[in-house]
Amino acid sequence: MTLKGRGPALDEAHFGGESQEEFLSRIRARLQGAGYVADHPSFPAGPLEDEEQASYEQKAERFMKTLVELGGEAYRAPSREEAFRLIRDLLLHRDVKGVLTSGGDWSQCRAILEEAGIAVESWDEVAFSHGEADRELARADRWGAGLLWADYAVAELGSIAVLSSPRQGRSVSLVPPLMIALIAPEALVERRRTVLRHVAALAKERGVPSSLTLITGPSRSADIENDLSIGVHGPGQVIAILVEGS
Amino acid sequence: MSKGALLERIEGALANDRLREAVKRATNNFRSGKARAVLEYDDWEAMRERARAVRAHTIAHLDYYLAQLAAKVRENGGYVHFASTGEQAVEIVRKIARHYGVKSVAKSKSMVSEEIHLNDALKEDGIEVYETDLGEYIIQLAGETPSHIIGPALHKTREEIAELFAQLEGRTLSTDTPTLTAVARRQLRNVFLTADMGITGCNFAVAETGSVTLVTNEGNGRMVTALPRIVVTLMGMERIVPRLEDLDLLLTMLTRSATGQRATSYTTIFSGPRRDGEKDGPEAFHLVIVDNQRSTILGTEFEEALHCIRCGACLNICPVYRQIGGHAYGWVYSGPIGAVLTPLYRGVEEWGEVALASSLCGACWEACPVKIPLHDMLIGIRRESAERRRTHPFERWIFRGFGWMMHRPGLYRAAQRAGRWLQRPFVRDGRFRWAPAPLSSWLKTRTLPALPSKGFRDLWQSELTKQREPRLAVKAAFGEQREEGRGA
Amino acid sequence: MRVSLFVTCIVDTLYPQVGVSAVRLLRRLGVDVDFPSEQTCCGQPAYNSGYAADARRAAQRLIQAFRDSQWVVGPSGSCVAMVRHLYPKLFQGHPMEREALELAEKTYELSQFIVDVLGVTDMGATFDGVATYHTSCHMTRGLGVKEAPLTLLRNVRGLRLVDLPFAEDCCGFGGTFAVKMASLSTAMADDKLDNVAKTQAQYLLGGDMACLMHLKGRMEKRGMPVNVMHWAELLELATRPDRVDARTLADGEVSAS
Repeated sequence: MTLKGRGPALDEAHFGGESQEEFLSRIRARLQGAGYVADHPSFPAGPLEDEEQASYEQKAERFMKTLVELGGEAYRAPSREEAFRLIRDLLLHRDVKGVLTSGGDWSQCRAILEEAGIAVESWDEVAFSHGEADRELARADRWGAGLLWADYAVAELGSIAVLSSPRQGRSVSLVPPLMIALIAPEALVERRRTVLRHVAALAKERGVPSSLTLITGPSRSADIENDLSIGVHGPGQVIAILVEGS
Repeated sequence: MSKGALLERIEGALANDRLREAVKRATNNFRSGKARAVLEYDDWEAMRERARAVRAHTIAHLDYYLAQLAAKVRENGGYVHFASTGEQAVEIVRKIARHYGVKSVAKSKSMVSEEIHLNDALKEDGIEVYETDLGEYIIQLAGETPSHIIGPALHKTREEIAELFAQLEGRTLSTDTPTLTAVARRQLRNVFLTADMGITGCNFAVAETGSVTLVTNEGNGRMVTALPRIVVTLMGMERIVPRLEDLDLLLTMLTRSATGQRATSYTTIFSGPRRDGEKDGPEAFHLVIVDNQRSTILGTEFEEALHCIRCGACLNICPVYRQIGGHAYGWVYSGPIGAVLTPLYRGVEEWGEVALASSLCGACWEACPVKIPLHDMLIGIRRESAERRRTHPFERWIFRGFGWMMHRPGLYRAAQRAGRWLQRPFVRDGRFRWAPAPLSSWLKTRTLPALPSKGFRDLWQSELTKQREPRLAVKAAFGEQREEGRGA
Repeated sequence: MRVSLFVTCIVDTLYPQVGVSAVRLLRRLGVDVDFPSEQTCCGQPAYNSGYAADARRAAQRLIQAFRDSQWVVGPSGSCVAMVRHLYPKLFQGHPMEREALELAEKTYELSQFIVDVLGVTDMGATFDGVATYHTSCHMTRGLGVKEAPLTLLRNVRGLRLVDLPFAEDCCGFGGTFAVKMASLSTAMADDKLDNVAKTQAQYLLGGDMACLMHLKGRMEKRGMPVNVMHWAELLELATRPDRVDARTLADGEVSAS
């Protein structure tokens, strides 16, 4: 059975439930009964507003240390080209035959990888509608790794942040068993709060991206007798490369 | 539910050594993780206070923020539905599924869906429902309910899990973690790729951007919101923050308190359907905002229960939970927060007795990252039960008598004297050897001292009042200064 | 300085020796002690079980009993926490609210009074033995007194104070909980006692006789040979003039006046 399309806007009321007005007025009545003023909330100010202070060097060290502690790998490359060669070596070492790339310019990398016999597909080239998604993604084995440029990296957490966009697919950092993220110097921030503030500003300017994901180390679970296991659903291997120089 | 049922479940749990061992191991891991995590902050207490203030502010302006959230979700191309009851919420999801012709559903963890028995309803409509959190998946296969907010299957042993997976795969399996994890990965990968619809819970919605935040360690939250064509999010109406940046503090409090982690492996903040030109992500997004008794708590002494961020820290530290696990509490929420929420959501009349499953030690309140005074609330629930005459008549009579006697010192003294006489037949070697119910249950496992021949006030009168004591030469300053300071 | 002893109903009825120890300790510190005999119970059993009105009846009597007292001192963290932190709530909007607040403000747990008010941390005590200390929940979390009794005990010469593993865990007493949920309460006591056994202490000390009654009761059933006593009892023994031996006198650290 095929799914119906997105089609014209739906009437929410068609799905039943209560009207927004009824629902909120019940809440309002309760709150007003408790003496709250619910019109123009002013947010409570707090003492925990310290801004970014660390130097690039401090951030880089902290990021790498934190990610490695979480079971990821972290490298520094003095140039893009060095980074791409490092990727090639990492992939060859793991016997990865094909990769999927997304976000940013990968043409130089592609040449290096293809020369080494690694198939490269770009997210821009992958064309699938949902009907085909199962089949395409089910063959994800052909992508032993997802390569992407991170939108942000968070030093305090060892997190890699990715914003969805037409050129940055969610699946790239999700479906393959290995994820390699390249991080430009300007993408590395000290705190998660900075990322959230940036994205909030971005949202005000031109709408919020459809998703923001922070990836903090490999996929893990402790659901079997509290015993740590890696790579449950998401990638079991996470590699970050800080790409330095111009 | 009757009192008998609660006691029966507790006795059952206490008799299950394997369960108790598993619960203790898991909660010890969680709580020691948290204890280590908290040490990394020198301002943890200030962070708790700030988190409390953020939650209090949000709840005090809940109508405002929910309206903002709804507007933003629609702006992002999503749909918003409001359900005042669990039945309404179920009906909405069924209609959404029907509208899109959904045959199979991949779910990431949602406590609300447990509240409203969503899975059963969807199955009635012929829809396959798969829980994708490993722990939830295990208990779904076992036909059980979660026993812990963070570790739903922490009561299952690896042998039991291997047995469940072996049935699924039609082959025998070894019980090591990598083998079992690989089975789950393979089975569930197929689910993610073929499900028509994803259903998620909601750790925090963000009013400012119309986003839903999911934290998972496995990545199933990402899978469910990235791969199926339709995504439905069920959120309890209180699970919201005003601004994107408020997530920073609350996520820290959540993961630090839950497992001790700085952050979970995945924090997914998704904001509606895929945008034009995007190749993955859902084509349609529906947000279902659920009340289901929550609004009845607003404006009452229990309002702060709505501040809960579902970290499970109160379970891990609770000496009662640690003995009996989650199922004994009888509903989806367990531990101290469950003993408060269950009566509030389902009625004090029927469920008030769950609040008795606490020694009022206050460890929950101390552990809570948003400082919910759970021990006070447990007393509050007991008070509601008593006021609605849901407690045993004998107990009401006892406490009536207690208040009456303690108000009258003469009577109290007379009772002490009478006690010394009346106890005689039941005392041997200074210990009671028999006592009437309900004291008899004490004597089953513990000795109870008899009343001594003279109480303190007798000693005071007969000798102590006249005694003099030699004064110690102590080093420290005497408290005269403090006394003057008080103007006494 | 004059202090009124808030003896608590459990000490008055079952453990008079604890009250006697409290009086002696205070007197040895130069404090005059009186005992308003109208006092009964703070009302906590009723309050915790949800019977606020009945608890208030008991509490009114306590408030009246100590109306003229300057300082009120009790040998129980739990009962003092009830007065200090729960009376203000119990009497909110009640005609006796002001008096309830007054009592709350002037009521102290014994170690809190000795350390925080009298400013005494070392009583010059001597006692040979190995002890561990049960931190009762209402003393630490309810009242917020964590260090005071330990400070006094650490300064007892000859006493080796061993840390109790998972000291912050509840012992399982919990008032009526101990009876209503007897097997659960017992399971909690067993965990606590297993940890006590690990310390190999000869003495289990505590600041709340209710917890200690429960733990001692369980110990006797299990046949555990540990002495259970209120920390004030031990301090009283350890500061008796006839215990002040030549050795400590020679050190010049302590003398009976």
